[in-house]
Formats: sequence, structure tokens, C-alpha cells
Amino acid sequence: MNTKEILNAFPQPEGKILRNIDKEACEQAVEQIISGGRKITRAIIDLILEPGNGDDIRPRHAIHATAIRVGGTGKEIERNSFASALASTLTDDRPKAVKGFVIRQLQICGGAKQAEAIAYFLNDSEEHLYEYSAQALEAIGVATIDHFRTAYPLAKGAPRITILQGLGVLQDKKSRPFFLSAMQDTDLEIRLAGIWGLMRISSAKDAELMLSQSLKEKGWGRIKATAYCFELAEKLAKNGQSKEAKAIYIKIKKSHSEKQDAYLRETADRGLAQLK
Amino acid sequence: MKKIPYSQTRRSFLSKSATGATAASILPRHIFGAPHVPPSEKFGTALIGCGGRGPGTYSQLCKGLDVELVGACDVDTNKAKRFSLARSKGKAESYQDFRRLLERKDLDLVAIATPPHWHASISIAAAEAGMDVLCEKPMTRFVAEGRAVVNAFKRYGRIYQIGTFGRFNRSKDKASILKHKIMSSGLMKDCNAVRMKKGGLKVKQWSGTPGIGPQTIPDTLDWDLYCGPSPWKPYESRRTGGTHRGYWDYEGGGMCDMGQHHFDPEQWTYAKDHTSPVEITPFAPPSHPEVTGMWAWVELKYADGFKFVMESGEWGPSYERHPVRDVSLDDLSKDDQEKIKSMPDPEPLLSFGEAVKQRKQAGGHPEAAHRAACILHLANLAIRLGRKLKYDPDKEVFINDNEANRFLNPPMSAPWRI
Repeated sequence: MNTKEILNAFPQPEGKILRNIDKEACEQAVEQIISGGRKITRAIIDLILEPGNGDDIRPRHAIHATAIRVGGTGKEIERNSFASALASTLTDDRPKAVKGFVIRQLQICGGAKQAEAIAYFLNDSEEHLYEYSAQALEAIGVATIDHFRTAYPLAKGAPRITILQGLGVLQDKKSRPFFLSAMQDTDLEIRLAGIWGLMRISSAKDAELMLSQSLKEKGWGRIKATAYCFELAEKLAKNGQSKEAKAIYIKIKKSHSEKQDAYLRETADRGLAQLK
Repeated sequence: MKKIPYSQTRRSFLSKSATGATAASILPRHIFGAPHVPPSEKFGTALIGCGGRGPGTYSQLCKGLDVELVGACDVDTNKAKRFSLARSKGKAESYQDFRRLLERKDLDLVAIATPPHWHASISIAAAEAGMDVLCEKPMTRFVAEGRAVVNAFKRYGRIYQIGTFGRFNRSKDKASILKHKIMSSGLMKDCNAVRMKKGGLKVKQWSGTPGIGPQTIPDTLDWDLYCGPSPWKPYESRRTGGTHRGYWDYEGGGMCDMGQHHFDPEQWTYAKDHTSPVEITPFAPPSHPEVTGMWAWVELKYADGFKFVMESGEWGPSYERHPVRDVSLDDLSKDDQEKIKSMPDPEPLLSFGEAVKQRKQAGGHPEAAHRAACILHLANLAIRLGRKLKYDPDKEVFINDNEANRFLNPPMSAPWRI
């Protein structure tokens, strides 16, 4: 099957939706893409356009179908081969929106070997590439932590919170200084990401700081910061650090004495009861 | 509306109320502490997500309760204003950002009727702010969100009810109660019952439209906030306003639109509120990256052998793997049948209003709602991935399938996180 025949196996919308789809033909086409290696994958990617610049429904469908089908046990060779082919297109001169689509497929089938190619876009604000890059790396997992650590000090604007949050998602204990520093930021959402990151790494020694910061916040900031302190207490209790968890609950009870905080005191009481 | 100072004590409030000084005011319920809610008091309420199902969901929230609408919130400011006008003559404040709404101190109950990609994040935030929640179905967009909602409501002791109510009738139906007893007794070994849902899942109706180019964002819509925890995409009108159901980023097709209605009552009947299927087998063509599409059937098998089957009836072959048959008392020995007959009936399910007043779990509580949503998510993932999946219902992960696991807890867009 050549590229055109492969793509013709996938449907065009009929009455706006993909109602007439031939499963067997699509599965055969996917097999052809896998066996066709880098050349066929790149040829299909070449047909993907920026949104609004023409019809690329079939190429997008074909690439996604392959990304999905190379998953699962026993397909490691096919998966790595296809993911490598996808990643190779990220260094080409292509529209960034197309690269965004490729990165999103790597979120499904990419591995540590493709992390560097994906991480190149962690600080790229165009077409939300930083977001797609971070999410693909988070999906790949802890093998990508170094890329986040390298990118964070360079980050400005929208990518900054995304990368910081990625370090929290991956529970990177070495990023504690980043989280602590973020907690002092002028931007509320960065401060919250810092507190959340410390919670994610179960940083018992920072509990006091987190609690103090939660009390400085108002409105939404206070709601979320307090929630992260509760979550830290639960994580510590689960890790066998009951003493540290108890201290958090007691501090929350004492520091939230206003009438409208009754539900927080009750939440702390429930947490304390769980410790016994 | 006059706002009561935070420092005002309950006693002083009641004293003033008696003289009529603050008769129109609402004191948030959570300041009194959960177990001491007088059933006669007025609850401050809000709706988040005012289009489509919003007004209906809000009406469900209010059933059996004395309420006052204090806020209406929608990423499209027109929708929030319209709802406030219709339900409070414009007295309720309109919001575009739910974070500002949840900061209010006079809010007790929140109805959530946004598209599903927002359900979990807003439900959790509402619990963290001390509020009870009635949330439209489906409960979540992906599995890990459900567990986070369960944990949050347990942590804060708040009431949650999912916006589907079929289980309430089932819990009063004698035949359903008998099946519930049989399945919850633990006496049924190697169950070979197969419950089929044929059609009714609106597969074509809620399939998405691929290939639409970017469009101009309406002035009244905050598109970034609409995308929220889901991946940012260029604006297309079909991604909003009901047709959002056809996009993986926000819902999951007719499966997620209708599935919780169908399977939540079934889950109660067959006593599966505490668990999830262990093996999911699909028949579906490769899915499109953005839009939901066709599938033929999905079989979901539980650890005890019981199976749910969904057959779309709108594409592909019929399900023929196992004959459809129900659970019966005759499946048990005479001794076990006697044990079933002597079992007490299950506790009546509490409506949202009853649960709020009594501070007890509602019939559609978070764990049950989460497990019902999992049926839909697991079915959809099998459809999308096109392979048999084995699932650990306790750890809530797929077994030996790391790529499938990426779909159970996909990364969220900052600053949103669970």
C-alpha cells in the first residue's frame, strides 16, 4: 500500500461525522504504517496542516490510530520505532501547530528516548507547545525529570507554572528549592503550585511554612493552600509520619478559629481521629 | 442582600433574626458545623455552568430545601446573567470565574452543570470551600479525577450527589432489591449473568465533527477558562454548547452522556458500587484523535464473573460472546436461597435534600458515582485503544499496559491539578 492507499482506508466525514468507517481496512493501514517505518510516517506527517489550512482529517486519524495501536505489552519494538519516527519530525521546518499534534501523539506512545526531542519545546509559548510538551513528558514519567529541572530556571510567562507543576506531578524531591521559592512569588497561582509541589513530595519539614503561607492567602488562595496542607497531612500519615500529620491538623484547628472555618476544624478532627 | 459579618455569632444571628433585622440574610451552613444543621434554615445556592442542563440541575439541587440563589457562574457571561435574571430577577451575582464565586461566605450548596472536563476540579474546590454539591453526569472526564473527588468529599465531610436518579427507583423496586441482595450476599460464585444495554447510547448523535477550522471567539466567552484543565485547542463553536460531547477533550460521546443514566441504577442493582470491572473487551475501529466516533460493543467483566455489555446498535456487528441472562434466585442452592430471603432490605437511599439536612451520605454518593463513571471511562478507553484491557479495581490501574494507564490520569493544563 502506498501513502494514498493507506490514507484512503480512513473515513471522511459523512453528515459531519465519521459514521462509515471500515475497521478491517483501518487496522490493515495501521499495520502498513508500522511496517513502513520512518519513511511512511514522515510522508503522512507531511500531509498534516495547520488548523484551518485544508483537509487533513485522514492523515491525523492515521497517525493517531497508529500511536494508539502500538501501545501495550509485546509491542515495544514497534512502539519505539514509530515514536522515533514521530520525534524525528519535530526538528523539521514545520508549522508549530503540526508539531503540537505530533507531541500529543508522543504523549500516547512516546518513551524516554523521545524525551529530549519533546523537551525542546518546554519553553516555547507558541501554539501552547510548552503545555503539550510538558504533558507528554509527564505521561512518559520520571525519566523526564531532568528536562523539567533544566527548563524551569529559564522559564518565563505561561510555561513557568506549567513546568513547575510538571515537577510536582513527577514528585521531584530535588525540586524542593524551586517549590520553596515559588511559594514567595507575586503570582498567586505560582505560589499555590509551590505549596502543591511541596505537598506532592511529602515535605514534612516544610509543613510549618506551608501552613503559614496558607494563612497569608485570602479567598481562593487560602481555600487551595489549606487543602494542600490537609493533603500533606494525609500523605504523611500514610507514610507513617503520624506525629508530623498530627501537628498539621492541630495547627489548622488552632489557626482557623473563625466561625466560617468550623468545617475546617471538623476536617482536622476527622484527620486526627484517623490517626488514632 | 445584606451580608452578615464573618465575626457574627450564631447566637447573635438568631437573636437578630427574631426581630427581623436580618430576615433576608443567609448565614453559611458550614459555620455551624456539619452535624448541627437546623432543617428549616435557608441555604445559599449557586449554579456553575448555566447553559444546557444548568437550569434543570439547579432545580434538582433545590428540591425539598429552602434556598436562595446568590450566584450564577458561566465562562460565557451572557449565560450567567440570563440565569440570574430568570431565577432571581438579577439579584444573584453573575460570575465568569468559579473561583470568585466559591470565595463567597454565604454559599452552602452548589449545582455544577459545566461540560464534564470541569466537573471534578470544581466539585473538589467546592468541597474545599465547605459546600455541598450536586453535579451533572458524567461525574468526571477520566478515572483519577473520580478518586480525587471521593477523597475530597470524604476529607471535608461534604455531601455529594451525582445528577442521575434512576437508582432511587431501583432501590424501591422489589425485583431489583432481590437482585441486589443476591449479588451483595457474596453467595453467588462464578456468576454467569450478562446484562446487555443495547442502543440508547447516542453514538452518532454525539459523535464529533472533525476538521473544522478555528473560529472567532465570542466576546462574552472566556475560551481559556473554558478549556481549563483540558488541553488548549483553537476555538470552534462545536466544542461548546452541547456538541462538546463529541470531543475527547471534554466528555466522551454518547457513552459518557447517557452511560451514567443507564449504568448507575444497574450498578446499584447488581451491588457493584464499591468496585469496577476487571476485564474490558471492545469491538471498535481506530478512534480519531479529537472526536468520538463509532463502536460496536464493549463487554465489562467483574471479578465475580458478572458482565455488563454495551451494544451501540449503530455500527458494526452484534455482541455474540455470551448469551444474555439475568441473575436469579435459582442460581443459588436451597440453603443459600433461604439466606437471601432472611436478609434485611438495604437502607433507603437519601435524596440530596435529605442528605444535606441529615448530614448523611446521599444515594448517589461520590464512591458510587465514581464507580459508575468508571464503567463509562473503561469502556471508552477500550474502544479508543482497541484492545482487551485488564484492570485492577482496587489500585485503579490497568495491568501490564503502561500506555493505557496514561489515559487514566492524563496530565492537566496548569494551573489546574487534582
